[in-house]
Amino acid sequence: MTRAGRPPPIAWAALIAFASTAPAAFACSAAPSSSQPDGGPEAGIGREEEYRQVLHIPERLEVPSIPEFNPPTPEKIILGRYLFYDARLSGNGTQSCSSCHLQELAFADGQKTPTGSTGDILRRNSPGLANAVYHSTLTWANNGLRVVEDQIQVPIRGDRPVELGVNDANVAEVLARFDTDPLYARLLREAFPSSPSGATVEKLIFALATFCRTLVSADSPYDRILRGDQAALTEGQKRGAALFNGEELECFHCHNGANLTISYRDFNTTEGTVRYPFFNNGLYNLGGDGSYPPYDQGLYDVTLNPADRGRFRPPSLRNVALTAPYMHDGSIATLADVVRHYAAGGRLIESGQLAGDGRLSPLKSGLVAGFQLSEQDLADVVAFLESLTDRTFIENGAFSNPFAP
Amino acid sequence: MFFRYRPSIIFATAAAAVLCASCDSASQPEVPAPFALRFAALAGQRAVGCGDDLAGFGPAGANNLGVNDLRFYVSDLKFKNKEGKAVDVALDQNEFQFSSNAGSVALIDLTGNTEGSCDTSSLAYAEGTARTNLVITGTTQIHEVTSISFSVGVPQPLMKATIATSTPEGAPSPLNEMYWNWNTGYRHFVLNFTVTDGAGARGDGYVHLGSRDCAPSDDGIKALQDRDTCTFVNTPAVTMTGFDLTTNTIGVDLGRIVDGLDFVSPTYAPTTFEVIGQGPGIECHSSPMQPDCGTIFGHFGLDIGTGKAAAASDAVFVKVR
Repeated sequence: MTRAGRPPPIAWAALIAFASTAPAAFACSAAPSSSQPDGGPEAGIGREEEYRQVLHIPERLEVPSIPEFNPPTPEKIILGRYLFYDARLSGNGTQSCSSCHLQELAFADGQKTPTGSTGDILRRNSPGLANAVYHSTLTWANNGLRVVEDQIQVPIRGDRPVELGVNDANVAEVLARFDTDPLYARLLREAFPSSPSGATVEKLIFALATFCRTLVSADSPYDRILRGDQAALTEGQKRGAALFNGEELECFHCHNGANLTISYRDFNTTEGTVRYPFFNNGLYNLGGDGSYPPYDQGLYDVTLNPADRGRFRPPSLRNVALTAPYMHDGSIATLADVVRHYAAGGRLIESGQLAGDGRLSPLKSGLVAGFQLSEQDLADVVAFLESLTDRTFIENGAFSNPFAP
Repeated sequence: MFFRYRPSIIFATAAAAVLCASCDSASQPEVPAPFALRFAALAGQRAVGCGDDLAGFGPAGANNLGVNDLRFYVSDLKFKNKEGKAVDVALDQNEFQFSSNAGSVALIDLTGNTEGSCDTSSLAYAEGTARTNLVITGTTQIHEVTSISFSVGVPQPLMKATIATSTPEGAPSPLNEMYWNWNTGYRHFVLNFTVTDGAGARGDGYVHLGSRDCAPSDDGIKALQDRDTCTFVNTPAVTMTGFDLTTNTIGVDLGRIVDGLDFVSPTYAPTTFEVIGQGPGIECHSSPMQPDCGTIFGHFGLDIGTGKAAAASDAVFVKVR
């Protein structure tokens, strides 16, 4: 794992430096291909710039990484938005993506962990979706999920636990719901004009993925001060930013850049520079060997590498004040408690089946070493995190329920 | 939806192979003819299906099983003659058999999803399809064949090629099911079943073999990109000698899959996931962390530490009659 470089001495300057996107705009080298999938770029306009326009990505952010097999189009965005809010996309017709991703909570759900369509309690906290598509890996701990098209398979088809509950037994019935609805028949035709075969899981996913790529947040007070509005942050928030970006707290090592996470990839990320970070932050230490609860060992459950027990991806902190509770299992209720967790260098659970001293975990990241923090410092750091809340994002009508009256 | 077979699993009544009239002529090679390689679920020597309540499993034979879903891929099918030389085989293309430059695969699906224990309501995580397929069909010199071998699963090059080809239409049949979403690939073998212990308590059984740790290289975005295989391939290998395509069937012996298991799984509190007791059940999703997996992998001839297969160690697939 590569550590981020040391920041300049003045932390506030560092914050600005981290967020500098310096876009090498129009550096698109890919010529339009004659065999482009539906939605290929028009001749004469750069692919990156076209994608920026289609997805409404503000200039201050890079265009997200987009796989060549699913170029964005306005028609896919429209279809994806309907699907995101449509409970017919679950096996039993009771839940949609929006059941666990609420716009007013930056597309988190406020629950410790959600309940799936058939009653399963999920094991992981529903993450916010603001700028989620910029993460180099999707979900809390899976190094193989690199594009949102693959990630969306999990809530749709996953069965331990069931989320939307689409499976081999009911998938034909689920797809028929969309084929027989004239609205969707039209939206599907418009989104996939060269594929007249009707609804497929992949078409639904391609459209949902494209809608997710429009869920971009870039108008928080934090963004505004980076644009030069020095009054956008309070003095306390500025002090909190300096602490956040200081070597004492070390938050920035995992949470920096345009999305406040080092799990980051965009349209122009150079090959060989993408990082796939996963860390154990000392939440658990069962049996003293660093183990996490047996029902969720993080990255280990995918790689089966014992060193990966308890390793989870550092998420973007955009809108983090809206996405409580925190950590992969929602086991920390407030931002203040999150900061206290890192100040303590891990968590001690004294009794019960999860007992163990996370502070002493042999698998804990070296960056979670603990620090001293006054109550004022704590309040300032939390205030800084609250400056990442983007009301423009949560009130954007383009992301809202299209079925709402 | 698709085919409507009688879901009950009896030995395949698939077309008997056409006999070759000139086989006894030493000078004239046998003319290739259509064959049907048949599969069936077994309990011991008995063919079993959705309507059967199967008794005598686990410690003291106290547990009963009911099959809910039994599907698996078959690939790398090879035939040999009595001299040990390869006999050419050409596989048909149909909705259960797919071939491309990257390889070929067949899906055997021994269960429907409506009858008896196969009904989707009989298991918490039922996922079985209505369609069934009990045979692999193709063309070969039927009477030349004296031994066969195959792998159970989607071959890695075909998995890699299928994952790399993302289209709005999705993967071609039969690669459009058995998806393993969180591992971004396919399961090779799925056996879901009901368990009832001696006291009448009900539980579920899930045996899912699939490749693990298939993440792409550092610059890749799709599983298996810039690498040839998953770290744990987990495709069992099977060989059978003395095999007669006209009379033999390949059995999947359920008793051997669950042999040696204690038939007990922890039960969890629904909200805290704390262990609150135990009940009848079997669960293996190809992880060494799951206690049942080590034993089950052994029966399939798989090394759970490496994901490599040894045909000589497979005890699950047996020649019948």
